[in-house]
Amino acid sequence: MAAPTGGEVWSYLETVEEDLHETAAQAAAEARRVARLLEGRACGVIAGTPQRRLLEDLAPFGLERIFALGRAPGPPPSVEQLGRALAAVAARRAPRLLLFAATPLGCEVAARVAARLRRGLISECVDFARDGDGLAARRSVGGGRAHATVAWCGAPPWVATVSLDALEAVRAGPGDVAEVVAEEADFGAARTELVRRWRVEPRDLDLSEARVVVGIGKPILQRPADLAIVAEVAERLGAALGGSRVVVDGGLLPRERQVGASGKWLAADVYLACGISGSSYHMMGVKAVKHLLAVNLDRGAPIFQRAELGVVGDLFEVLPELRALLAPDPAAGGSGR
Amino acid sequence: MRLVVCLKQAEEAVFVRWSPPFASFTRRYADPTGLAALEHALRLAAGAAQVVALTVGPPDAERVLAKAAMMGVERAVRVWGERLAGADSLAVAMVLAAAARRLDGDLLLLGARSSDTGTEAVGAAVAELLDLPLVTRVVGIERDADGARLLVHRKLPRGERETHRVPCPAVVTIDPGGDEPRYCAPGWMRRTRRLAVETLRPEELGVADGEPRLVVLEVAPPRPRAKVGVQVAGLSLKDKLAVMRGGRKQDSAEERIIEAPAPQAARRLKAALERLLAARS
Repeated sequence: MAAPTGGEVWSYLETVEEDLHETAAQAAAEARRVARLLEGRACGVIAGTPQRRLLEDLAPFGLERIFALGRAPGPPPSVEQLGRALAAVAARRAPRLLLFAATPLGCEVAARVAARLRRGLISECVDFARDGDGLAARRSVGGGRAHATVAWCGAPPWVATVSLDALEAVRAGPGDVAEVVAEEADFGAARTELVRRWRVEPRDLDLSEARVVVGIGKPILQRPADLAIVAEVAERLGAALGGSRVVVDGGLLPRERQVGASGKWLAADVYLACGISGSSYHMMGVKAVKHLLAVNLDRGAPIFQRAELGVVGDLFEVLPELRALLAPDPAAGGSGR
Repeated sequence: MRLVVCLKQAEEAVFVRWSPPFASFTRRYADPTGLAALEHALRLAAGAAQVVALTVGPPDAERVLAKAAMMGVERAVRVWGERLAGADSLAVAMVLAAAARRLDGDLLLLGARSSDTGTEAVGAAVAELLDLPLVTRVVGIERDADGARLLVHRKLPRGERETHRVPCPAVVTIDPGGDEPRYCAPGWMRRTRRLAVETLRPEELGVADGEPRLVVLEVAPPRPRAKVGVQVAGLSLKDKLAVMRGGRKQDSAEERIIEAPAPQAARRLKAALERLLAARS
């Protein structure tokens, strides 16, 4: 019992303290993409009343309307409150599809809304396609070795979260600012109390979570005192320090600092491998790294096959030079942040 | 105090042949995020509270409950009905919520995101169905000073953390980035002999789920979504894939690998690092 074509596709526009979250533009672009598939209208939904500046930022992404869930001034709503308000508004206005970027918040709100409305939720969608009058989504199953195409049956609103890897902030051209529709929404009370927000220093961050990692290999065992230089380079880059298995077995780094198949699997954006030849077990652990830089004496080392930039040289000469070039304080611009 | 931990038997395709004759091998294992949740529960209980393991799955899923018994669980419940095969996350959440209500726990713990399907939806749906407070992606749980409430630490991307205060009963979903599940020696299998798994059917729990909400149309080899804003014409297959996945074409070895004196090499490294770190933030 698929609904007729048309209808509205809503994307939740995540905000962080009155500003758009980095996924908001991508979610808006996704709404437009799916709305074209369904021959419907692309809409956004946002908590609170959006400022003019924010609407202008979103204009190129082709949303026709933005539903603003009105709320009393005060602390931003908790995810629980957001889910409650969004479910009520979605039940009232009955959009065809509700899209969320698969951020921690997006995943939770999507699940809450789907559970409240008793509607089908497809998570971590990679792509969408028309299925007759309805819509199907493609997602990874079985641990990533296959993709299943899943269709919604039953009445809309349907709910989906979109994989962050699939999202893309495609511009629709210079567009008009979306029409804002104010919606009354009951957020209710929050039952969990946020006590504090804090952050883990980059160097204490678990290797599997760190965005920048400096890895050190076997040569350091010959000159253990120079580990301080490597640690300082890592510090100045705002990076976590890791090592190959040999270094950990040699007792220079604790077990949880080991990179590789039998240690931590990195998900870093940048990995600087120093004196690491790149054995297959090590390379398994760095498979997901986006940009790999390497310093190694041996030009034939396997690590250079994967490296975006490789330096053939002695790390005990290159790293002190690099340390001198990087500003002592990461905030002072040495890391470019 | 009673802690209820939801465990899952995950299923992963180890090998799939997509051309005829079609074949696939799957491996079933205890989902590690669920085991991480169990570890948190056992530490919080510290022998003073009862920890109950709960799973939704066919008889084979009792192997997961046996693993839980090895880790120290004394009571285990399994719910299964034929209609639950291939059920969506909401259907599973309805069964878990009904079972958790019957078990009357003070805290319900789940893995935040299973390693096979990873919908990250079940925990939030259970909290919604039970109308309980929820904290997701938790890496640490401790009792608050007043003894009645809990302080839970939540992990967000890029080293961001949040601490929440929650009244019990509550639901938490556990991120596997916290403490690792305890080691189980093979000899501890004898602990599983005492474990009598209670089996229930969804109907006995009063779960009345109607028509399915989702239907699987096709299963095919994985492929990433092609990005719109990138040029892939004229690239090798390997580079095409790299670019479509959001990476970039690899330069030739001559461009990428430099043999230069240390000061010069360090400058190149610094420039590359600065470019990458600036693009990231």
